[in-house]
This record gives sequence, C-alpha cells and structure tokens, in this order.
Amino acid sequence: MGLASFSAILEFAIGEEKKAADFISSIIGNSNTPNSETLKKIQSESEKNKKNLQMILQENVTEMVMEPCEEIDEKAFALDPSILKNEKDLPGALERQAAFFKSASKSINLKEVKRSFDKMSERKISLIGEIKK
Amino acid sequence: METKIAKNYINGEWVDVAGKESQKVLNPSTGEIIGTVNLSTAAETDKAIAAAKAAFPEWRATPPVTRARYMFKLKTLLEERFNDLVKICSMEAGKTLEESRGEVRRGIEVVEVMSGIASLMKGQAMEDIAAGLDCMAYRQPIGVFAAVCPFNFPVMVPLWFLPPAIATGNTFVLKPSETVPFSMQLTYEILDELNLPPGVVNLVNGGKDAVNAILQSPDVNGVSFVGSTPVAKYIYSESAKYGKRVQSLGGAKNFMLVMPDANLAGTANALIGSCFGCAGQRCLAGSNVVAVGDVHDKLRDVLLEKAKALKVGIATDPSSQMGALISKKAYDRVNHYIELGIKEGAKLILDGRGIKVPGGENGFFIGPTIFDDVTPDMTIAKEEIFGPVFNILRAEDFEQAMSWIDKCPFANAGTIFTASGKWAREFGYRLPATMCGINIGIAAPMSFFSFGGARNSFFGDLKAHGSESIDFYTDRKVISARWF
Repeated sequence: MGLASFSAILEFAIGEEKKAADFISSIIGNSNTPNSETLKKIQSESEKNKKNLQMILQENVTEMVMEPCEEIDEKAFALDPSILKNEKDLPGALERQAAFFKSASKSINLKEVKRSFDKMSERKISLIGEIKK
Repeated sequence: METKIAKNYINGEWVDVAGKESQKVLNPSTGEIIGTVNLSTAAETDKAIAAAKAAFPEWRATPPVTRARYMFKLKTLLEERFNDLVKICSMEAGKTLEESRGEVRRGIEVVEVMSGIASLMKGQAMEDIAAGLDCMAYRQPIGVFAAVCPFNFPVMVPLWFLPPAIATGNTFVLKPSETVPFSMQLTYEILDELNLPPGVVNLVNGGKDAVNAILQSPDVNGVSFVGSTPVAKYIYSESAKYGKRVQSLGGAKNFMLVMPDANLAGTANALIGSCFGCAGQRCLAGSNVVAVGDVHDKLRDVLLEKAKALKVGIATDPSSQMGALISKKAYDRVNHYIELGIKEGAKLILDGRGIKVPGGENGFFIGPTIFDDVTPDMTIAKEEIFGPVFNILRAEDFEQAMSWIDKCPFANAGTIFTASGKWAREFGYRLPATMCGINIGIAAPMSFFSFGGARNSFFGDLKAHGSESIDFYTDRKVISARWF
C-alpha cells in the first residue's frame, strides 16, 4: 500500500519507531550483550523520534492540500517483527528506517519536516556505525 | 454504546441543563447517537451572563502578563489533549482526522497569538499635546462578550473568540452548536484545569432561546457569530438593536478563477482541497470554478480524475480523505441542489449521490460531485450549497469572470490561479471579497491576520482574530492630563 498523505507518512513513521523500540527492548531483555549501552541508546533514540514525529504530526496543518505528498511504498520500508530475531538483525532494521526517512524527506514539501527527517536518517546511519564498532 | 449528556459550565461549575427540550447528537459517519444535548432556557443563559458580569471587575484588574500566563498554560493543556480533541471533533462533526488536526491546530494558534497580549494591548501616549498637557490612550476591556458558534468547526471557531476575549480582560459566554456540543465539553474541561476565577469563561448549551437571551441581555456587551447568512443578519440586527458590538460572519459563494497560464497540477490539487475539504462545509470552500479562455477542457479532465480518486470514508478512519455531511437535513439539502442543477441544464460530470461507504451505511455521505457547463444565472451558481459540489463555468476572458464575481451578493473569499503577476494584482485589487488567494485553494487568514468577508458574508465592522479582535474586545480610553 502506498503512503500518499502527510499524516499517513507520519503515522507510519511513528508505528515503525514503536516497532524498533519494542524489538530492541526484546533483545536487551533476552541476551547478555556487550552492546547493551549502545542498544539502550538506540532504543532511547527511537522513543525520542516517536515523540518528535508525534509533535510534527500535531503541529503541521496539511488538510488544506489533500495531496501534498509523493507516494511512498509502505512495503519497501516496513519492519517485519516476525523476522527480527536478534541483535544481528538490528543494523538491517536501522538501514531500512534510515532509507525511509530519506525517502519521506523528499516526499514532503515542508522544510522543517524535511530537516527533521534528514536528521533522523543521519542518526540511524551513525547508530549502525556504533553497533558495528 | 454509552452516550454522553452535555452540561453547562457556569461560574466555574459543571451544571446539568434544566431545559426540557433536548436533541440527540449523532455521529454523521454512522448515524449512531453519541449523546444528548438539553437546550438551556433563557433563565439558565441569564445565570451564565450574570456569572460573567460578576467576574469582570476582578478579571479586568488582573495584569495582562498574568492573563498571558493563562494563555501559555492553556496552550500547553490543549497540546496535551490534542489527540482527544481531534477524535471528538471527527466523531461529532464527521470530518476526517486530518481535517480535525488542522482545525485544532488553527484554534491553538489563536491562543499562541494571545499569549502576547501584554504587547498587543498596549495603548499610546504623548507628552505635551499642549503646554504641560499629556495624553494617554489605554485599551480597556469592555465587559461580557458572547459567541454563538457553528457546527462546521466545533473547536476552531470558539477558539477564534474565547482567547482574545479573556486575554483582553473581558469575561465570556459561549454557546456552541447544539449539533456538535462535545468538542467544547472537552475544551471547557481543559479550561477548568486552568483555575481561572469563576465566571471568566462560561458555557451554555442551547438553541434559539439561549441565543435570544444573549442578544437581548443588557449585560452582554458584544456578540460574535459564525453561521448562515440569514442568521448572521438576524444576529447583527438584534445585537445592534440592543446596543451591542457585533461581528457576524455569514455564508459564501467563493469563486476560483483559473487563467490559461495557471500551473494545472498545482491548481487542481488546490481546487480539490478547497472544494471537497470538510465535505465542502466551510465558508471558504471553492464553489464556482471559472475556467478562463481555453483552459477549460484540460482543467475539467484533471479535476475529474483527482475527484474520482478521493477516498470518502468514516471520519475516524485515518485513510479517509473526505468525510460525511453533518446531518440528514444537510444531506437532503445538497441532494436538492444536485437535482436542481440537473433540472436547470448543468451537466453533471461526477455524481456523488448514492455513494457506498463501508461501515457508513447510515451515515450522511455524498461523494465528490462536479457540474460542468454551469452558467452564472443558475441557482447552483448563485446559492451556497455547503456540500461537496462544485461548478465549472466557462468565461471568455478575465473581464467576464470578474463581472460575474461583481454581481455575487456574497463576498467572502476568492482565488485566482495564474502565473501572471499582472492578473494576480488585478484580481486582488478588484475582488469584492476580503479574503483573497493567489494560487491558494483556501485563502484562510491565520490567527495573526483578521478573518471575515464582505457584503452578505459579513455583518459588522471588526473581524475575527488578528489585530481587529483586539479592537473588537477593547475600547480606547483617552486621558488628557494636566497637573497643577
């Protein structure tokens, strides 16, 4: 299904951050990983993003233009909890999220929102680097 | 499903409405009853006015900076309950979640502007207007103000009036639409958390008796109204008769001119949003789309394609792009206009009647509807339909289009779509309506500009929000002083 409106994109992004936070929470709970500090950081990043995305959704009035967005393919970016099993799957999930924010940034024609999405995408990429260290 | 009963909020207390007449509140998407509103009597309305009057001396003496702090706190609380307000608004008004988010945001923006009341309310002063004589002009609050609000923006329109009224030091009585009382129930729960002095804000649910009590009360100093033109005229004349200030916003028939040089993709998106947003139930809705010169065929085709693609649905479904009409009465009225359009010879190129909405079988849905080959003498081109219906008219040139606009008794808003600065300037200069768009579907002024039309679309002098609302809610006291 395509994401064709501002709120559809934002609600998708909020849902994905929740999935990511839940996934990391399950890894932290199930393993004695040496990366637990990094994982907590990634989890808190997802929580922070979720709040920011909710504010973006709340603060931007878009109903005046019904089709402000270039359609985004939801399937290409959705995280699938059934295949996210352990820490090894995390970089892939973060890459997918980073790609989503990059794509959403191009699709939404609001400067402040673009800036937030670009920043979220960059942070995800930098967190991948931290896990791989 | 549990149904709610709307209460009044008077003198800082929630009270049951004693009036015996009542009305069911429906979810327009499903036709389900979501609550009941009992209609307040004149005596109950008088109690709210008396509470507001009693609260005025203390409130007006409250420093503006303190009143501004109430505004900051109100903004915070509205943000916290944002999603609850959005849900209630969509549930009782039938508008999509996206539309409700937009309206709650626009309401909060008025609170944000009024947080600067200490600066906005400053007066003027000058030394030595004559030898040893100084002069000061203070802006003073006036007393009790009331607002009578419509169904189509259950959150935003009350917030056009309440924040500036109380930020300027007046006290306030609100009568929301009896069709959508619950958005204001929640808003007043939020106001209750502010701990304002009792009587500063009051809420009265009701119908004509409550309105007449407000209009006829010697203790109400000013009235704001938004609604249909006949009622706006009534409110204006009755308020004037009883010596009140009044700002009374009525109906509209908005023209959208599309010049041959317009960017068609952008224009079509803006027009679709304008004509079908809130299912066409707003005073800024595009209604007469005038295709100027040879743009007609291309414009018609792209509008048709986009309108067909809109998803009409239950208001609370996040994927819905257009919601329901407010009531069966509205549904019947819009159907009547569609039939009238066909009868008068307009060409119905998209018929929204009989649309099937899953889960909304008992809802009041009419899908996007477009008439082509409409002429300015047809009823559908002259009267406000207030539904998801727009007309395409063909004008030979700009002058012919402007001549039609000039003859229209409404003058709320108008828009031109063009790449030419010359035409844009000419349109802005000559448009009788006082809200003008250039390549904008909905020329809605934001909270720091004033909102209101002309001719049969507005009765009064000072418009809603922006700096004019500070003028509306205050009087200037000029003090000339000499000290011996």
